[in-house]
Amino acid sequence: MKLIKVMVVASAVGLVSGSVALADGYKDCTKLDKAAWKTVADAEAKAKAAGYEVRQTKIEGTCYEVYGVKGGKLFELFYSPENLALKHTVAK
Amino acid sequence: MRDAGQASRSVSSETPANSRPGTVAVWDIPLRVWHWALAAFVLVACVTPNTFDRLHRLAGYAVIGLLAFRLIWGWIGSRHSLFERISLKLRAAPRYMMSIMRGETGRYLGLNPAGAAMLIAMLGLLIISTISGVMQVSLRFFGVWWVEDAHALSSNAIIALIAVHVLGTLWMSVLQRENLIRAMFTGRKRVPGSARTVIGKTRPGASVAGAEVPEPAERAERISVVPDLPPGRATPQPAAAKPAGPPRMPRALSVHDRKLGLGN
Repeated sequence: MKLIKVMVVASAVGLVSGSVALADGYKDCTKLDKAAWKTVADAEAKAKAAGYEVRQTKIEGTCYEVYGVKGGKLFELFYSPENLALKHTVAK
Repeated sequence: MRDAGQASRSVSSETPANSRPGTVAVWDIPLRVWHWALAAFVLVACVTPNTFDRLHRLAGYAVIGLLAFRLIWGWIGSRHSLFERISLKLRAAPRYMMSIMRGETGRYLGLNPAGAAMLIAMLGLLIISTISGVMQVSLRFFGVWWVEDAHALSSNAIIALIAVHVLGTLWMSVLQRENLIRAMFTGRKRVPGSARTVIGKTRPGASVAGAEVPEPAERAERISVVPDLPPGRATPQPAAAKPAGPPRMPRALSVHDRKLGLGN
């Protein structure tokens, strides 16, 4: 019974901490200091120019994460705030 | 936990032959399967957001299915799966949790009031989390901030509640000297009143549906404000407490009948 308890507690702690560690998606876009970043509006403008309907933009790590809809499909676009290069795209 | 020798004799005649003596079936098989399947899928969902989108979504859909099952099972399941009396227990929950803080517990065969509160909170948050999760990837609600926040907040709250649930169950297992984790695997718990000391009084009333009046608590175990549904067939009943039935068919008494105090 004691063994079960120890195992349950250990696995619960392990899973919770593991989920915290794993819960990160794409988040490394630039090493540039935040003060020198291009603005969110610039990133959104770039997504719009590429044909996306922009829903929302968040800062994820050192990326601009733009929520865009194109052709009825959902995308998360990761732009580098340094030069607005499209680093990563996630189709939802 | 194997101390229930006294109670086993009167119970064993009514429980299946393969079950451990001194225990009574509490959690039905669908409920147990549901519990562990839910735990598995929620844990999968906990470790997959943003990284394994497909798996995360599949786990979410599975949880939705399980939630639907539980809501149905709360209507048609066996006694301890039912939502029927849960409002009574919810009302007792604050006081019960306060007394847990002081290390005092009342034993319940089914969910105790704190467990009932946990069940409701968990089901509510899971419903919010799964629905907001589905909304999040719908064309209409994609990128809408409050949907995302609802999903993130409810999911984090679920993780916190899981921790409370696990620790609370372990603590209760220690306080009441009953392995509640095993009970969720085997479905069986020890018979009420078969704890360390047995005090003669047992609960009357074998009917499930008709019992509206809260029954007095078991002195031996310091139970509590709101009673469980009264144990049914498995409760040992003193002969005196039985209501007068129809007149008995005359028949010869055997030695065994007299030993058991039956007849006349």
